[in-house]
Amino acid sequence: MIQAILVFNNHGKPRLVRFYQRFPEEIQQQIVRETFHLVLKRDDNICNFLEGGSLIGGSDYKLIYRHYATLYFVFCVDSSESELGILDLIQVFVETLDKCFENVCELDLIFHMDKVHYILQEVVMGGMVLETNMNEIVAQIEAQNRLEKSEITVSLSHSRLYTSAGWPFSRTCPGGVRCEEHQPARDAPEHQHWRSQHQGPQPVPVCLRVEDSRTESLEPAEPSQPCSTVRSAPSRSPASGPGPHCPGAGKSPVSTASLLTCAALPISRTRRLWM
Amino acid sequence: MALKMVKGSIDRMFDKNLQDLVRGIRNHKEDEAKYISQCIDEIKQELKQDNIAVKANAVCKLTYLQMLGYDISWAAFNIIEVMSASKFTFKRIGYLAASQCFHEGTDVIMLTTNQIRKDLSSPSQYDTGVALTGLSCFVTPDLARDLANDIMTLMSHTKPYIRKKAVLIMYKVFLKYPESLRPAFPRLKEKLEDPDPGVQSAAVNVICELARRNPKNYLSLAPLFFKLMTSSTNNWVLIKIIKLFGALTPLEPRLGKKLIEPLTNLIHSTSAMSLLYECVNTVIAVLISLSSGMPNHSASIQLCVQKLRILIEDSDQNLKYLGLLAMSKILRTHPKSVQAHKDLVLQCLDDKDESIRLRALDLLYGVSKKNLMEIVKKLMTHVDKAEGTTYRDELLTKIIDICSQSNYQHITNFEWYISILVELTRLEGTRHGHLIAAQMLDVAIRVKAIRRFAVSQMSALLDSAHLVASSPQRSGICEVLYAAAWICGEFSEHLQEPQQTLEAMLRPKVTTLPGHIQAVYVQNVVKLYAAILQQKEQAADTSAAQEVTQLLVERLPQFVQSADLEVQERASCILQLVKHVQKLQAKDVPVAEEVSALFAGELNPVAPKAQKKVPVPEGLDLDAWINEPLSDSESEDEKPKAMFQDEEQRHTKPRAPEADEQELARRREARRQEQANNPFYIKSSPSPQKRYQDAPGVEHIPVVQIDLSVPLKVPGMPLSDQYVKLEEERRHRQRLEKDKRKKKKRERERRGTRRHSSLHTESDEDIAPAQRVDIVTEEMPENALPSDEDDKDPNDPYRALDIDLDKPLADSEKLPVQKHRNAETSKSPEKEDVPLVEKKSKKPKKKEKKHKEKEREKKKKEVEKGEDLDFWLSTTPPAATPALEELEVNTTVTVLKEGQEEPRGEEQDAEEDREQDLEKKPSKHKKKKHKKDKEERPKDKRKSKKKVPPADEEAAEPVENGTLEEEPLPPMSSYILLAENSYIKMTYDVQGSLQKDSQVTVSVVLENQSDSFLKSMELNVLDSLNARLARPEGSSVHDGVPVPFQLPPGISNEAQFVFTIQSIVMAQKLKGTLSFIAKNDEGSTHEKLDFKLHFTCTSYLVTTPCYSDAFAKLLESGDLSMSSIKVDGISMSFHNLLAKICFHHRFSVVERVDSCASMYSRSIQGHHVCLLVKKGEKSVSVDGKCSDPTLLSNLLEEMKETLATC
Repeated sequence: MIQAILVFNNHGKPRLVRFYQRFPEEIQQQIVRETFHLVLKRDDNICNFLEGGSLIGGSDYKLIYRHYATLYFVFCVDSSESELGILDLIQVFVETLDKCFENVCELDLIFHMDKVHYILQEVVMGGMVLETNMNEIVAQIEAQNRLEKSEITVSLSHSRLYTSAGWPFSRTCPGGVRCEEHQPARDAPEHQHWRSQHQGPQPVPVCLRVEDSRTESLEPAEPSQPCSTVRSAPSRSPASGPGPHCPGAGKSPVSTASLLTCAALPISRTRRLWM
Repeated sequence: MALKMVKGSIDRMFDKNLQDLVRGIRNHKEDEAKYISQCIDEIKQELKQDNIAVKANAVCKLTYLQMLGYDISWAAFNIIEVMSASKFTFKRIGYLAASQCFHEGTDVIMLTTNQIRKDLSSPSQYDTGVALTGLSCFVTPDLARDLANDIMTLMSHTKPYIRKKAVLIMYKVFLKYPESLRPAFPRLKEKLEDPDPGVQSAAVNVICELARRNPKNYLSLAPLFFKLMTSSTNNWVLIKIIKLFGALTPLEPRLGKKLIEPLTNLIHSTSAMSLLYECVNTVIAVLISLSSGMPNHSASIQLCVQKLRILIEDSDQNLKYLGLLAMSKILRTHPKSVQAHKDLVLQCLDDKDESIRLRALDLLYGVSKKNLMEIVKKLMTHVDKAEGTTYRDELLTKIIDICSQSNYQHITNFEWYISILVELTRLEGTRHGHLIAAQMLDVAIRVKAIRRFAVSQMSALLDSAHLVASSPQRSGICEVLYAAAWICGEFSEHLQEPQQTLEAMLRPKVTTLPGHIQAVYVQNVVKLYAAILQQKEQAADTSAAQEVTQLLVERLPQFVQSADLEVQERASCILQLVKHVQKLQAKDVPVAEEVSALFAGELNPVAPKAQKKVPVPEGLDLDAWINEPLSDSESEDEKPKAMFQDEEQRHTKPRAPEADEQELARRREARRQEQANNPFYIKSSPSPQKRYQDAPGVEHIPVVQIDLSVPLKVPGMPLSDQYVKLEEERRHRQRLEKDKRKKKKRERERRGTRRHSSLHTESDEDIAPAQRVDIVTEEMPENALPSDEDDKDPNDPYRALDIDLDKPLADSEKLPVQKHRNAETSKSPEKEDVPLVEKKSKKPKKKEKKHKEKEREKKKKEVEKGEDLDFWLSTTPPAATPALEELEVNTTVTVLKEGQEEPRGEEQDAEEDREQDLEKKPSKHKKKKHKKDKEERPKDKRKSKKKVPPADEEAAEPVENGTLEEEPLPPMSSYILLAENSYIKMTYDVQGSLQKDSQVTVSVVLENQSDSFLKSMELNVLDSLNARLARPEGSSVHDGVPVPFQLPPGISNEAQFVFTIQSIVMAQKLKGTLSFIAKNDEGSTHEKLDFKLHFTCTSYLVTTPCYSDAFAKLLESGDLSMSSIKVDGISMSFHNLLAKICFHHRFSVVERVDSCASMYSRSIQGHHVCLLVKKGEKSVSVDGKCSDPTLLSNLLEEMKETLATC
């Protein structure tokens, strides 16, 4: 059984919290924090298993985690799960995210937590592995997206609320408004390209990026993040003032780093087993 | 109203959606809490609106806030509202929120029951799916009870997507509502052979989870799982099954024997590391379960160890970690095999990864007498190097563990061990001071021979100031002084210079130590004092004796002033005593005798569990009140408080000083007698130490003489190293001596006495210990009770699932079916129990008891069941041919099998266990009867029957491992497309039955492919002379037969129609029409779909097993006509080919020899059909013999078509 699935970033900010056993919210936060501190201490080149200890369930439980770019994916499992199997499952999950979001990065998880949950629901259900075949998972998710889309077109009210929900995985314009004119860009090979199209006339995406780099740089300064100084954020741009920051000029913000291509793991460790 | 709508949409324009919320929070870093509370206010406003879209949006935002740690349970009702939205988009949001925040304590959760039931039966599979997913997270006992039946129905849903979710959620239902396990289990078992790999995997998953908790109930599934294991190619499933077998083997060692071979094959063949690792793990579990007397399995161990070595040497840290983990399991039973890889383990100790170092440390348990010192030395160097205190503490505990394991079995030289312990006291800041102290005490008490040495070391410790120096800060380590003081006091007769030690213990600095240590100091000062007094009096040195008394009188007041009550009390008590002694001394009265009498008596170590195991005397009721309890109010503030500091009581237990020597001796003798007769007393094994002691001529063996006059300086050079060197020398000498003895023995042997012919290699047992040590075993009380239940947790939620699954279902166990509410409340009293949580939790147990009773009644049944498994297990490793029987839902699989040498066909009850035995045991005839009987039962019940001949059959000669080369069969379905249009798709299958010689049943699966609702379906055919549709009585030939159900969009269902057939020797076609009404939003239309129903000759055949001798007689009888066909260009393997013929043409294999097989089938009108199938190069020839030539030629034509597609 899987007891919990936690996704948090290099600063311990939760991006997805899914417990399959009831814990009050405060305890959940505490578990996330503790797990983060446990995982943070570990180099990327040491093994991905942590004997759980006091967190959830006791000695039968293990933390199995992987670190992708800016995010940690942590599964808390008991001894009925195969360790390597779960590692592969994390890989499947991330690859599925990558397929659904097209080159997934932390920002996708930040703004579409609900969608990440829906994807996870097709992989793990009630703490048990539901499906490991990525094509099957993606097919089901797409079918549900189509269903949702059809409901919205049927619906009389074209509120920006639901059309901007970003399904089916065309990256929503970060401004929150769905840019109909960029819809075709979904098929464009270079994702970065259509993003950059926004920079000129529309200030919104630029703002977002600034906002991003600022958040990343602000976070370490927070008192609630005592450990954040240990692992320096790779692109800690100087705390920018109100002046807009050209995203092209500086390093790309951490949270837009593609999870899969920037994975900290060597290729050999992303191997899949059931192929 | 319209205005309201408009207003709603305008409002929404200004609402934040999730993205806005996230962005807002990110923009308000400084006052996040304030911003969020503002948002929550907005959300509350939104929730008050009527528009469901607004509500859903609000709930979606709440879900995000929940992740950030905000309690959103106040919105539970709104969440339910969103869950009940008709649109999937909103429903999904609602269920997600519910799955994140609902739990058993949520009071509104019972409102969801009907909504969930509605969603579960929704025509849209995604509504059902989302409800199942949500429910899996917040299912409560009530929901589980109310919905169990609905979910069970979904387990046979046509969509695999729903099936797999329904199967998985059943586990949660079982946990919450254990009564559902037995009724649902048969279906769950069925799902193990579901055609969809996802469903199959889910079923395996659930059963593995169940079996992990209560493995013994699932032993009977072992054959089924075994078959899955040899046939499945899905690594996920394999891993689960293999893990499950790991849990089952300890219960049934014979299973292990059966497993070894396929597992070994998997280990050799698989490329997936995870699978390899789990195989190795299970092989280890198997080997543990058969640990003794299996000499031929050393190869398996070697294989495991060798594979693990590969893992450990891998550059991947994960594999290294797992390799070490598995290695430590082997260690328990086969330490020798692990020791061969000591180099690797020691190498891992230097790894940069702490997890790996810790794992490697585990492996060091596998020490022997030979290498203990060496390993500990290595660990000591690590202790010195270790940077973090956690790792160093871990090392410290490991050192102590490996030395003390199994009663100090591996320690040959306790002086060395004591000095190791003393060296460990140099560790600063360790948390494990008490551990070292406990070891010192234990060794000193139990190893009598070491006491002298221990005392000298301890006195040195007491003397050296470094421990006391900064004690309170460096907390842990000063605990050692506790042991040191006690040992010096208790065994003061061994002290070289008691006076010096006494002074050391009375130093003013001692008062800085923690209270409990001071207390021990005080108590042991007196013991020392008594010893000195005696010594002095014997030497008639009265002045010296008085000096000592004076010293005490001067120094003890410092303890009297202690803030610690214990210290204070003891000190003042003892001070009075000493003062009294002083008075007596002044009068020249000899006091030493009396003072030492205070501490007379022998000390025996008592087992930690001894107290618990004292049996309750007869007639004593511990639960009875001695006095009737007073009212609660009085006792409230009299709760027993810990008056004194929590201390280890073990060493201060009262002794009986009044018992004189004789009495003691008498008691000791009595005790020895009892222990000898007491089976629960853990007798000290005749350890080499003991033998050593008893053996005559021990004196000849050199005992290391350590010059104890050399003062031992603790902080100086590690003393233990000297021991290592000395030990080596000693062993060398021993070996020489032994060689000499051996020579002598050999001479003796030559003379003819062949008493001991064993060859002496230097094994553990040969290393004699350096000291004459007597490891005293711990005492247990008389008649100690064996208490196995020590570690059972009564609160274990899985205990309720400990249910026997093999018994037939009783009527009372049926799942509650959805009923009208009134009926429900009146009928089930449980409903009223709902608020009584306590009562609820007891229910499963009661049930369990009931089961137990039934169990006894149904013993007979049980035994029979057991035989099946026994039979399966008792056989030699099977040559089971892997076969994936992928079947449509709703089909019964009847597996039959043939043995060649003892020819007989056997049908096994598909319901009971669809497993195939490929054994030829003559003892089976009797059982066959039973099974036949049983078989009738499920057969009748079955709606659609289909017999599938064995897809796997056995080669005549015992095949070993050859089975693996046969690839699994492709999925096969006997359902053929009948007709299809944009609304509906029809597939059908024709089945005959031997009981009715002129009837066939046509099962038609109707699948709604449209968005419309299909109803009033009616099927009609144009009857021919030969075949006609059986219509309800009173209807004419032109009337159709109504389909007994309606089809919502996306749903499929099966309808059955009976046809009467006159002649079956020819195939024929019937034209027909399906008419129905399609209803959608636009309205409803009448639709028609024409089809042609094809009755092939094959459809009149019924799979019938045949004994090969009967088969031979049949062929010899000569009243069969013959015909044959040949098909070229066949690439399919013979195995698959046969399976295909069996499946599509309903034959069974009578026997198979190489690439030649004889097959048999029977028509519903009793025609025998015999085939001889031969496979040549790229071609297949089929010779048929049948009682009717027309039937045969038609059959062969049909077969030709099938084969042509191969």
